[in-house]
Amino acid sequence: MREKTAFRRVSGGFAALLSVIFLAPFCYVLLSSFWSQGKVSFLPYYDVFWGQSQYMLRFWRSLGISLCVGLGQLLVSVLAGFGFAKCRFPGRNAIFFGLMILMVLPVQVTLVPNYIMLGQLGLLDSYPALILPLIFAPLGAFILRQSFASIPDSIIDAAMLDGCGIPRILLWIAMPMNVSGLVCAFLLSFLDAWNMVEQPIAYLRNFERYPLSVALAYVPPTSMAIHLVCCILVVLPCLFLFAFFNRELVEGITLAEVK
Amino acid sequence: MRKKSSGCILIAPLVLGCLVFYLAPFLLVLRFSFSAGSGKSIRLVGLENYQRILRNESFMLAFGNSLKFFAVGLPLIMVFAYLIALLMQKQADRHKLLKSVFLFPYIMPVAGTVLLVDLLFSEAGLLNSLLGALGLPAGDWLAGPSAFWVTIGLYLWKNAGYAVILLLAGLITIPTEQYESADLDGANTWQRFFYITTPQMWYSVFFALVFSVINGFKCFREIFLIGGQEPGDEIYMLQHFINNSFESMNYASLSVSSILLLAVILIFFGLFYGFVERKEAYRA
Amino acid sequence: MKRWVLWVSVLAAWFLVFSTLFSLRVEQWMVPSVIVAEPRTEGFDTVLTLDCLFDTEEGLSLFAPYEGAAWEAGTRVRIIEPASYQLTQDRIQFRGSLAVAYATKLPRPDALVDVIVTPKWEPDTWLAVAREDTLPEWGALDRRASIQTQTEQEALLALEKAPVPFMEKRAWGMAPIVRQEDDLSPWADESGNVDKKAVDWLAVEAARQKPPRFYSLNDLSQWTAQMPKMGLGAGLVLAFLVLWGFSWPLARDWRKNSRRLAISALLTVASLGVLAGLLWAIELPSSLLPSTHIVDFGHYTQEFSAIFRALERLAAAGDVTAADAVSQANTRLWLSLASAAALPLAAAVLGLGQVLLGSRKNTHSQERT
Repeated sequence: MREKTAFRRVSGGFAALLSVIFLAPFCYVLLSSFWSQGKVSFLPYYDVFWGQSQYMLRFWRSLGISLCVGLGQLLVSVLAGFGFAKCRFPGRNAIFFGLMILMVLPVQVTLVPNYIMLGQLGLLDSYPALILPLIFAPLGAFILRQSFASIPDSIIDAAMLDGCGIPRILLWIAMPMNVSGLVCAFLLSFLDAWNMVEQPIAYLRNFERYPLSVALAYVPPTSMAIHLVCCILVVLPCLFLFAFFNRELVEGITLAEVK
Repeated sequence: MRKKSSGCILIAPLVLGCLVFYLAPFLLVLRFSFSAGSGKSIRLVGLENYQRILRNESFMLAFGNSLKFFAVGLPLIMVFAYLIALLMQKQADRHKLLKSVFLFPYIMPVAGTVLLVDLLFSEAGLLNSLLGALGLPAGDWLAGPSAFWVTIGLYLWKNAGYAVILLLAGLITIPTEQYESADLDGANTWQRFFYITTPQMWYSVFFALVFSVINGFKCFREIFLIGGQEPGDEIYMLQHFINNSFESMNYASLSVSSILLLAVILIFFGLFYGFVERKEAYRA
Repeated sequence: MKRWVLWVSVLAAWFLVFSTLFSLRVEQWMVPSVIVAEPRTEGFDTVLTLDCLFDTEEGLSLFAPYEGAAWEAGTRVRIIEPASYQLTQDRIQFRGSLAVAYATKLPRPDALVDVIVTPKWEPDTWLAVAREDTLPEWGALDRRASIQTQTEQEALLALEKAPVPFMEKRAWGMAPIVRQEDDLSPWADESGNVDKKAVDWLAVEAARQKPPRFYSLNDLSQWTAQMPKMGLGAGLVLAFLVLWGFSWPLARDWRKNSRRLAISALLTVASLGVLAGLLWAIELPSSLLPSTHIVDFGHYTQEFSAIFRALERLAAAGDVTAADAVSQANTRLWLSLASAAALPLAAAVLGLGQVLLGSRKNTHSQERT
């Protein structure tokens, strides 16, 4: 009994220490953003939100790109995930393994050929160049295949017997049962697009068109205080999405592996 | 159902897109790796590029560094995440807040992490002032061997939470009755871990590994933004090499390094996936 | 938890959209118009006139325009290093290419500016307010300017043609004061002789008596004309906040109140549209705006209380223009305050009514069952 309480206390302390390690940098950034030139000042916040329009405009640009990527990838992955999970066709496992390998490769490997190809398609220096490759990333299909695989086959068979076509099965049976998986796929692809750095530098020509994350990372603003406030601005949508979808996300990653 | 045609139609958008944006570029890379010259004078030269690059010092340094990074980082992150997940296994309900906090470092933007590393580890940073207050010598943490450990630390901080959640998910599915009956049989913690936990966790471990590798490659962004195009010898990664080849228009070495990287990933994941599948088939 | 997050994020999203619209407009308002001067050659030196100096926090400084890049794209001004120019008794020896001569307001270092070349000329009335107890003596006024009314501490000058936009330092040039003897005693030796080369002319210039503060009555009436719109905008913002607060009890039972919540959502979007329209309808004169940030209320209170004190005293001395300006400003102020208060009150009434109606429907349906 004593051993158990000691263990509980140690693990509790460990958990508290971990929470501090994970949260402390955020709090530091938040507190430092109010500290400008040696005193508490709201001037950087004024500058970023009301003083100049370039920060907010970049924010909306990033948001638009990320939403397009998130929703687009969701659409493509739902179809593909269901196909991989429930349909049998030759080469299914091989194709899936190939997609997984493509997913693991770092961006640098395909950056240059992509640049050449996008140039030939005439899409360079435009936002579709950023959006399209990310829509077809295999990440969402990977997650959704696992979560769709957990649907019992009997339900689908019964629905087919009732005369439902695949679109109906998808919309009314598969998706409502797997909201966590859908949310997880959407969030992860949104995050990928929100934080992308290499692609805009390669595909977009000038600084004016960079989304916020890249502009901030590649050319830090000269004032440290503004840099900090911009970091807060960049974290804001992610925090909201995580707070709103907290339950689904944790469950979704969970479901991704329950076979 | 499960007709071939419906399956093919469903996966068509993704596969087509992947073909256009991932596979076709990759085939281009493959072709570049077998050719030399640029512009109009491209010609196939077989394996000459491969031979040349294996003798290139920067490439061997970059490749070695990347391998070292993953050889050190992957076990560390798996052990770290596994320990945390095991600790949380019994008390997952008590630490609901901690479950959400794990992912906070993951959503921190690249600009933020770069700023943090700068604030903490630069010469005028927090760590040096702390050491100075304690009377210990300050050091340049962003150069030399310590840079490698700073990178590993950054990788762990940012991505451990992700792996923890993946592992925790697998741990939760293990029914508690197995542990209880093992306790009745007089098993200690090690035996419980090896005979009950481990066999059922291979799939979760595989998943955690896959995502940790993906996240490890993404660490390049921070290294690039802190160290620039030519960082110190300790953290000169394969992606730096690829980047610099791009800058110097050396498509051949770029492609060859990509192919070699792919080969290593294929071998590693192929083996591990086969291993996991065998264990799962054994279990079922 | 989800509903709370959604409720807070509605406010956050509204704030972000509002900030975008507001920042787009504030950026345009806060850009001062400047006139730049090229130094002219005089013998071996290139010189500027002394009135190119601006009175900043760090003392008298010179500004120069430059083209920024990345986050600081556009034409901006920065303070020139004091070491790169030298003052003599009546000119500045400057080796650079361009310097800012006049500006509608003190520029903020590294902020955007709008360089204009030829200002327009329109009739105007200028208000001069003494910095000390009495107005200094007037020098030779420009032929287009004439003193309309003068009291002890303030004066109204009528101008046939005044440069538009209004720049205070140009007014100092067109309506100068009598220049006092320079006090060179700190640099005199025992016998009272002064070595002109050793004199710190910057300190002499800084110590010289400053001309009175000048304000343009055209700009003032433009500002007061915007006040009702500003009040309307403020009222709209407050009204939205009130409605948002009242939407929480509605949100708790959102299925039942879905129609009302939809109407609230529509009102939210509409409020943003109306605010955008208002923002673009407001034209603020640059000379009355603060230098650093637009919500510098200290600056506003200071300037406007000085202006209206002077105008009231002039009106008491019998000046008609001043009296008109004061009464016009008063009516507009009341209008703006009224609209700023009326809208939130209306919203509060609406919100309260919704909540009460909702709860009464509840009790009714409970009674029936």
